[in-house]
Amino acid sequence: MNAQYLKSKFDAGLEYEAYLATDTQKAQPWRSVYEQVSLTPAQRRLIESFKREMPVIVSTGIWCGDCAQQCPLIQRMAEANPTRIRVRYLDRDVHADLAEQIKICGGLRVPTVIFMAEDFEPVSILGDRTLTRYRAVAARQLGPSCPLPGAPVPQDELDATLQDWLNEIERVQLLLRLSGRLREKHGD
Amino acid sequence: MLMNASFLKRFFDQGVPYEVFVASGEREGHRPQWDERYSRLELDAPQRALVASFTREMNILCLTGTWCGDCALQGAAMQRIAEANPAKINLRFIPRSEDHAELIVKNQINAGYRVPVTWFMAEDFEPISRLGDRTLSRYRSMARKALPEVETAALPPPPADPIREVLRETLDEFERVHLLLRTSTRLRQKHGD
Repeated sequence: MNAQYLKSKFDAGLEYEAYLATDTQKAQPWRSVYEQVSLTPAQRRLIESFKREMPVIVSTGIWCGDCAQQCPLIQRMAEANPTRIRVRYLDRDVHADLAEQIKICGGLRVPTVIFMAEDFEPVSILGDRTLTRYRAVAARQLGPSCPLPGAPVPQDELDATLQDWLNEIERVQLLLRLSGRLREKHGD
Repeated sequence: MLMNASFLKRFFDQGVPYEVFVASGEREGHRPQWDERYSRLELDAPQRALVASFTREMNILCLTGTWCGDCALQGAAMQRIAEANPAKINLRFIPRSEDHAELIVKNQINAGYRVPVTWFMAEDFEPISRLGDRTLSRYRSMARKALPEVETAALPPPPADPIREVLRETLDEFERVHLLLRTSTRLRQKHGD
């Protein structure tokens, strides 16, 4: 999976609104979560300070609950600095060639997110859930209570999951900002 | 980036345990930095209890170099974690050498041959995650030193203990991977739990 391949997949991906338009009914949970979350002033300041362009590919499914609960968080962050964080959403089944190469635990899991440098050189991959999401899911699946499917996500869980994703976005941004290769290229 | 199970197993089988790897750097004088980090990274009681509670086996391969300071820090942290549950955590180290060129070339980060790069795998070597090269706290620390203040003003204050902060970050990924494995339908069916 090299830069050329990743660029071709990025170019074939959809922006957020175009992706949600592929199934307006299934997009409803995505919109609810989007409305439920916002960045804190400190998070917004941090993202606005980013200098390096970082394309992001999200392998996803519009039907997927984990995607509905995590992709809107990524989108909120991207909107805070749209010239630096450019996200494209790729349906897992439409782009099966990509999904096959990023299987997790033997499964075609979504969302799986690929972070790249401005020239699409791969930097990092993260999926399918962050630690906060896993702790919450494990408590539901392995613990004594089991909420109904589609039950609202607690606000503190969403906020902490957003912070998990922001930590990885910030880590990738700093990796790129401090990269000798890119500092030489940009003279900074 | 994540590779496949047979590829990862092939390189895992070529990896060595921590002590053998650290000893391989003795002649060049690389050992003290690993020993120093290790001495400062003992797990506290809640961390030990968390790792001891892991019930799924996980295989971990760290591509690294005895000369590399970040590798010594992350490597020692991973070893401390692995020692808290040796029945479930199988940790191996593999040097960034020509012998492992296939692994190295296929796992460039930002077009560079960076270390450390660590793969977390299920019991059957199916890939779960790839971590590398530095953790967020290490990158923040570097940014504070290397970038103008105007660019780092939005960063949070440094942690009280930067060494143990890397242990915390590394342990977070161990826990995440373990929960992914523990809640995996495929593995729950296999183990009937």
